[in-house]
Amino acid sequence: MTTLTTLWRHITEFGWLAIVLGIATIVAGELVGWGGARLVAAALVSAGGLALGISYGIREPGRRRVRGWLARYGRALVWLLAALITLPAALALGAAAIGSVVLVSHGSIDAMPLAGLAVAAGMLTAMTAVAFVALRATRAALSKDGARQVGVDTWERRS
Amino acid sequence: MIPTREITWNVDLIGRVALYALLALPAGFLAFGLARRARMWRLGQPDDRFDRLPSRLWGALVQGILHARIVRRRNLYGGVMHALVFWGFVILFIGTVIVMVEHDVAVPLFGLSFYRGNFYLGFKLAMNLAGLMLIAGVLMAFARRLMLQPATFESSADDLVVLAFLLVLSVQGFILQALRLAVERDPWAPWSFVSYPMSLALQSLPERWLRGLHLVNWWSHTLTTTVFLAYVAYSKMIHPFTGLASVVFRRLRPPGRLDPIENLEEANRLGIAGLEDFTWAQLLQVDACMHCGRCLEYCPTFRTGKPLRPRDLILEVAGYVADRGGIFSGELGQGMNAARFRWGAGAERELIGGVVSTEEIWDCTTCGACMEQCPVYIEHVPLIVGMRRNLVLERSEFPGELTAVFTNLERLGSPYQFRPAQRADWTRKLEHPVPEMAEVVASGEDVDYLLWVGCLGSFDGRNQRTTIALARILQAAGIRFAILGREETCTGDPARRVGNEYLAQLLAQQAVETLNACQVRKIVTTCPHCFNAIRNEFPQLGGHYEVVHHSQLISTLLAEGRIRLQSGSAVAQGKVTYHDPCYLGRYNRVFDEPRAALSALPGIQLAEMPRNRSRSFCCGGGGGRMFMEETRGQRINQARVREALETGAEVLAAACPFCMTMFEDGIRGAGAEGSLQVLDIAELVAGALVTPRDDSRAAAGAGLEPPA
Amino acid sequence: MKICVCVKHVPDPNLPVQVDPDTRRLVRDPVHCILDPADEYGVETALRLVMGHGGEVVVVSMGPPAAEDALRRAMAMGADRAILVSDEALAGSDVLATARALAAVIRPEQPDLVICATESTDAYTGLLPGALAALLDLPQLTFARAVTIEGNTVTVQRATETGYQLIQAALPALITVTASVGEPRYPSFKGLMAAKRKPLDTRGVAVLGVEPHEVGERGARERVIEVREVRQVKQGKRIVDDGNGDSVEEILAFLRSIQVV
Ligand code: SF4
Ligand code: SF4
Repeated sequence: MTTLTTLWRHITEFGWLAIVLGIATIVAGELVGWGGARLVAAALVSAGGLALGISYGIREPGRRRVRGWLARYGRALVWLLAALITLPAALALGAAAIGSVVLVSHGSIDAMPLAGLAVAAGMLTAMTAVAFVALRATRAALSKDGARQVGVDTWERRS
Repeated sequence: MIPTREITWNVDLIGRVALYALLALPAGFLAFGLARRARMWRLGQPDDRFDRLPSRLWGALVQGILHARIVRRRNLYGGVMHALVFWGFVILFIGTVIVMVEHDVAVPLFGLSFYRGNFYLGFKLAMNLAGLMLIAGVLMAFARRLMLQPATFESSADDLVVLAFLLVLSVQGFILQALRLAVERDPWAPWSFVSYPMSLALQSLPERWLRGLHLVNWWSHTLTTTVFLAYVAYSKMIHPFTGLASVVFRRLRPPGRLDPIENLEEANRLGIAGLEDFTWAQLLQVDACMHCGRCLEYCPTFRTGKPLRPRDLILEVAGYVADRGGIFSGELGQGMNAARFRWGAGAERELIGGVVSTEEIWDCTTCGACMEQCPVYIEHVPLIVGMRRNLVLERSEFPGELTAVFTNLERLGSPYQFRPAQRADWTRKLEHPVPEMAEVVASGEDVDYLLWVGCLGSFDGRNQRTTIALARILQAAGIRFAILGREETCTGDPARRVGNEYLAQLLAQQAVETLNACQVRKIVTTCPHCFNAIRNEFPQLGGHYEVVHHSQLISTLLAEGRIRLQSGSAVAQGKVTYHDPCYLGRYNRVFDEPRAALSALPGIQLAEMPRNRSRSFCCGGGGGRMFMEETRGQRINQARVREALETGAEVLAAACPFCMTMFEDGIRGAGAEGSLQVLDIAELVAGALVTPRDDSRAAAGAGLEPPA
Repeated sequence: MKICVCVKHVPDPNLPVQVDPDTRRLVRDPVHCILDPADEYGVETALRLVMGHGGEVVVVSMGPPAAEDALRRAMAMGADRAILVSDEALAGSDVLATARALAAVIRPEQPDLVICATESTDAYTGLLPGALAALLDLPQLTFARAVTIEGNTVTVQRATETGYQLIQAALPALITVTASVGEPRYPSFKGLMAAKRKPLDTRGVAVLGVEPHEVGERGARERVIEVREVRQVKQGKRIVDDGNGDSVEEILAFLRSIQVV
């Protein structure tokens, strides 16, 4: 009981400690080439993450600063993340088209790679479309009074 | 060569370290989101939901894994869609865990490797299939949100962002696989049947490019996973956790029972008017709602264009919780979850009036269609009644029509302005007298049933006909029964459902005392509201009786041959459609007996309305709505009457005095007097009854007939 | 501002009336007695006036101890305190004696306004307000369908057969209200609980300064000579709608003939 309470009282410190230890373990493990380190590191790091999440989550919310920062740079952040998330994939899918062109120029294209091209094209279209829809919605949500706008006009539409 | 692959192929040292170091982020964010929520739940009132754990967990399995409430015949599109996304996601997740076990546990610690050979091939097949399922499900979801747009749908930004994440994640998975295969050219590559053709299209590119693309995409995928998991905490995607919890902690008590306010006289807070008035389970439920709109499907107020929409009600409360320290607060949260802030935002808003409008609170018929449909067992009705309780008990603010109802209930023991002495007036229209329970007890006799007539059945001319019909049936069957007569009082149901818990408790107490004083054991009643109260709410007050609805008793009597029917009915022929009363069907699962009784009738075909049984569409009269003006939206009773008309039926069979009154009115309102009439099951059966008198006449007739 | 509202505990008008053939008085089974519905309008009016102007509402009644019920109900609606005049010696009082007793408790309160119902729902004499106004020496504004107070002046719309008159008086005054002044509120449960703890003052004849021989059976100058049952005459007229629209006219004609419209 007392150990538990002590643990609980210092949960934030333990959380940070676990994460630091975990990262140290994985770095060392990978350098030395000892595979067992991965499990230990994963356990330590995620336990640390959980501990920190719980300890910050259970507290009175007072992080106006974080929220203010998010509100300020939220749009830029969204665009940055959207680019990091979708562009590499788009690039790879585009590469499939180039690959197909190369194949055609070699005169060695048959049904399979063509099907592959079709799959890639389909995925690219779907991804672009949903990314567009999601970004548009997010932009409206993050605009100054767009938040209310989204709410208001969709609700009105039905009533 | 044994089929397998190198895990973390092409990933450099920094990447491998980052993969593990970054684990703290998703774990942390997830824990943060759940802890933030749990923090709010802990503010709620106690509610014992830890009993019967095995059935709770079993339910979670059936609902969560097998999707019993999600894939429904009437909602195949949504069900299949969710099953595809869910199973796709779960299989991919299990796949990740398997890879991790191989890579981080089995090989390094035990020197074992199972990620090879046939297992590997099957694994690849399964993963590709799962990815495809996930993509298909997400596209179905997008199609529904953006193109099909069913009326029950409404999209906030969050709904769309979550879907986009799922799609992008699975596309990235396929890309990574295709790029690796394009370099490695495994002979067993065709097992990855989606990535393989793509790898062929990529193959001709220089390996340098392919490796570069792979690395970039690997990083991007890792980032996406982390961002997604962090986002989950703030979005409706938390529902795999909260929804599951909501299913585990679902209500196992009878749904027809509203929890009383214990120790009313000492209670210092009455009903729900603020955050601390909710139970923790209610606060949990609010976090479990994922805006699926299923609760709207059969909701009478939504379908007739009234302000109350059960989904929105839950989301509004979620917005309220958010504003008081929950998780969607602030401009960001409001924008992404606009549906939660229907009437505004800000912690200064009062729950009643500011977050939830009083119109919404008073619109509800307590029909339970929302709770029946909700896949995570959210209980809308107790929430609404809780707010009504506060309005009535604390503020005395309620629709003006209810004042007379309350004073009549208080003084006369019925919602109507009739004298108790008039309760037994209907018996005068019977040929054979009906004894009163007090006489029966005094004479030391015994009866099979107490006939609980109910207020409408006693006083209302139209419903008296049902009571009389039932009495005739019982008399014909030779059942000994009695009534309470002037001793009978309201069960308290109407008072309780409109939030006057004080009056309801007084009335229920009084009724239980009367019943116990007469040593009543078995009760039959024509009123599903009385039936529900006696069955589910009286036991709390020390009233334990065996109660049946008259449709059940009639169908038993028919099945046992204790009443017989003529070959033709005097009251109805042709098509009959049956309306399931909410408090009989949905709340007490009596669906078959009324139908059995109707099917036994001569010359009658049963035609079902599209919305039937547990999906029945309320008549509009429950939850005290019967006594209030219906000023918003279309009329519920007329909507249901039109549905009955569409079946081509000439008779709408009712089994509830409230439905009877609502439909009499609805038929007039819809101008369908010529084409449709509403009759109670008892009236229909009584109209075809072979009475002892018929028997003797028939016997006499037979005697006169010349021998053939 | 202080408002006194006179209320009465009467047999529930929804239940059949019973008269004791010997005493020729109404049978008042306390279980079936309630705050006179007509008085609820007075209480409501007082509460609304106080809500606008601030002040106190005192409900006053004369009756047997069970009449406390009626006062508690009025306090559940929101009245602040109550005075019950209750004494064996008061049994059988007539209107004048009742007015004397009520006046004796109202006078020291020095209210700005006294509100009565037009008439009680059991005896229907309608005499008490007039007697009370005379005894208290207050102007009397009757049949109010709306009441407003501005400064030191009370204005009522006095309902008449054809419309209403606007009449004013300087405070203090006595008014009688009709059922048109506004729907009385239904007491909240909170109100019911609070009413249990609100002060209720019970006074006997001794402290009132009225002589015992002035009140009760002995002081009564009215006598009930005889009680007879009234034969119920069938009322109303049945008009069948034959679909050509005449029925509306017929109904209107009938209503005009009995001077309802
Ligand atoms: S109980 Fe019925 S009326 Fe009320 S919200 Fe649910 S479905 Fe709608
Ligand atoms: S309350 Fe239940 S049914 Fe309604 S939207 Fe929320 S989760 Fe879906």
